[in-house]
Amino acid sequence: MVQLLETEEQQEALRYFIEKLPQLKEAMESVEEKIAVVQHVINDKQSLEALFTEFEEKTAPFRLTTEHIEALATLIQLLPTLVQWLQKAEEFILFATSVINDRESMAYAIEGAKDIVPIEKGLNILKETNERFQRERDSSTVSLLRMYRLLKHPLIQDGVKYIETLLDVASKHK
Amino acid sequence: MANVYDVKVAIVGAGSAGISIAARLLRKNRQLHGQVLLIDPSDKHYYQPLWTLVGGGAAKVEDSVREQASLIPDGAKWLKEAVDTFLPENNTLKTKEGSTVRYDYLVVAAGVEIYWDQVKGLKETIGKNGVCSNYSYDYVQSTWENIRNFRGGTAIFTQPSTQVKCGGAPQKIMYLADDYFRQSGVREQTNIIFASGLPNIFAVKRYADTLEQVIQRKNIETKYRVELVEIDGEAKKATFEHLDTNERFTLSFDMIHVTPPMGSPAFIKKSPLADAAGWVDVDPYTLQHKTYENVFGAGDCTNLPTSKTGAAIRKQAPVVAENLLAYMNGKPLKARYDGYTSCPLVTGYNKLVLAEFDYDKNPQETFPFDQSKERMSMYIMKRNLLPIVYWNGMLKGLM
Repeated sequence: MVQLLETEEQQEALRYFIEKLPQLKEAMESVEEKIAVVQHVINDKQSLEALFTEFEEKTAPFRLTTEHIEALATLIQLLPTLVQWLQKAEEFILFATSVINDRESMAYAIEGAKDIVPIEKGLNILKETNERFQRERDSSTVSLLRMYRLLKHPLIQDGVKYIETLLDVASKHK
Repeated sequence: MANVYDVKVAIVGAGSAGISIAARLLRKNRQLHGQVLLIDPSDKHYYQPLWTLVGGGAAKVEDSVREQASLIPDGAKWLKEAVDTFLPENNTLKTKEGSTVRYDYLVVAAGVEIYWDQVKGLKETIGKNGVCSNYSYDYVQSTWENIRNFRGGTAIFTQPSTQVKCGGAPQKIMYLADDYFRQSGVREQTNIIFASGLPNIFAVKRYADTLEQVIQRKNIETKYRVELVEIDGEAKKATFEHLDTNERFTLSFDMIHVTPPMGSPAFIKKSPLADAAGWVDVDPYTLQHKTYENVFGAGDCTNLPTSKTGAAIRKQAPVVAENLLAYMNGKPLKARYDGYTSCPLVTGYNKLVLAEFDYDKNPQETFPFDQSKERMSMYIMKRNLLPIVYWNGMLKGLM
């Protein structure tokens, strides 16, 4: 032992140990206190009983089973992927909310939609047609010549040609 | 009034890049609320991609402008002053109005400057005498006036050899004009000339092939490597210089659409943040300044070797925000910008080629179809959807 203590390394270690003794004592006391607290809690059956009873009462209506615990673990595992999707969804919702609340953008979108789908133009044509039909309504019979003239209208011609093509294609697929 | 500001993040420029980055920083780090200062003297914010359509009579100019104050993100402050001097060694900048801003981190996103006076006689005649330009809110409507009232003759469309914002815009307005001249019955009596300082119609072959066909179909005369150097509005004469031979020649015009030369803003050029060419010197992938680690750059004022477009900024903004936050937290800069840029090349009313490519000029197309073809769907997207995405997605830091 004496021989061992004569080595420089051992003396250095001993010096360090002695120097640190106050801190080590403090750390030991702290650990001792914490262990004591844990021991007291374990021994305090009344408190533990109340704690577990309350927990069980609160979770009872959920009828949690081991499957739920497993599902929870799976959910935690999936969280990194899910968060990415949720962030995208959040961004989209924020964008949509911003558009809806942005009067200028909404007006721009509606104006643009009118250009793409000319609803107003179509409605105006129908309105004018109805008005003219009511105004110019006559009781004369439609003659064959009038029917013939109508058949020469480009729209009717196109329509007839389309039906011809359709019948031709349909007969090939019989 | 001269003041002293002490902020965590200063952002120079409240354009597309500045606002988008501020919004992203504030969304990702709530502790930055009240600590982000946007510095920009302009009280208006312009959606400039719409100006091609405004010049072509297909959009209203008022749809391209909003009050800057309405776009400043919640949690950011706005200093309505113009930066004059950068002192990056002291993490400080000074404004023309005399204010001093001390920052921990700096983002420079100040855009480009238009050099109207680099073409002799241009400033005196722009907006009149048949001389117009889509590159200014004040003059963009004069383009439509000229196209609408054109009764035949020579129509010249110019592109300078300098970098410009949206490199495709100088030719887009030409295609719209050609379309309108055909509709109004004056195309037969019209000679359209595209006079460009660049060596070809477009830098990426895939899209250049389509555009060459458009040029042929529309019977447009092209002159490459020529620079507009002088314009006499009253005499209706434009003088060009051939960039290879330095020879000068003059063309008469009945209308001329001028794309003016552009470059880095003077206050950046003279600063220690600039490279030899005057642009903010950033790493092309991380967008961090090459000398000052707490400085980042984005958008048109940087020396990124890609086309200067709003679409490029849309991809740069998240990289700057992510890398700046990583740098703040002492983490490695992982976000990378690959040089993505996009140019929606309008080739006529209801026709558009959506060019998208990266640093290596490789196509980076978004849609699962051949975007090098002229498509109506892409035109509708540019005209009807992109402005809404810009105001509500990009400027909110969401897209």
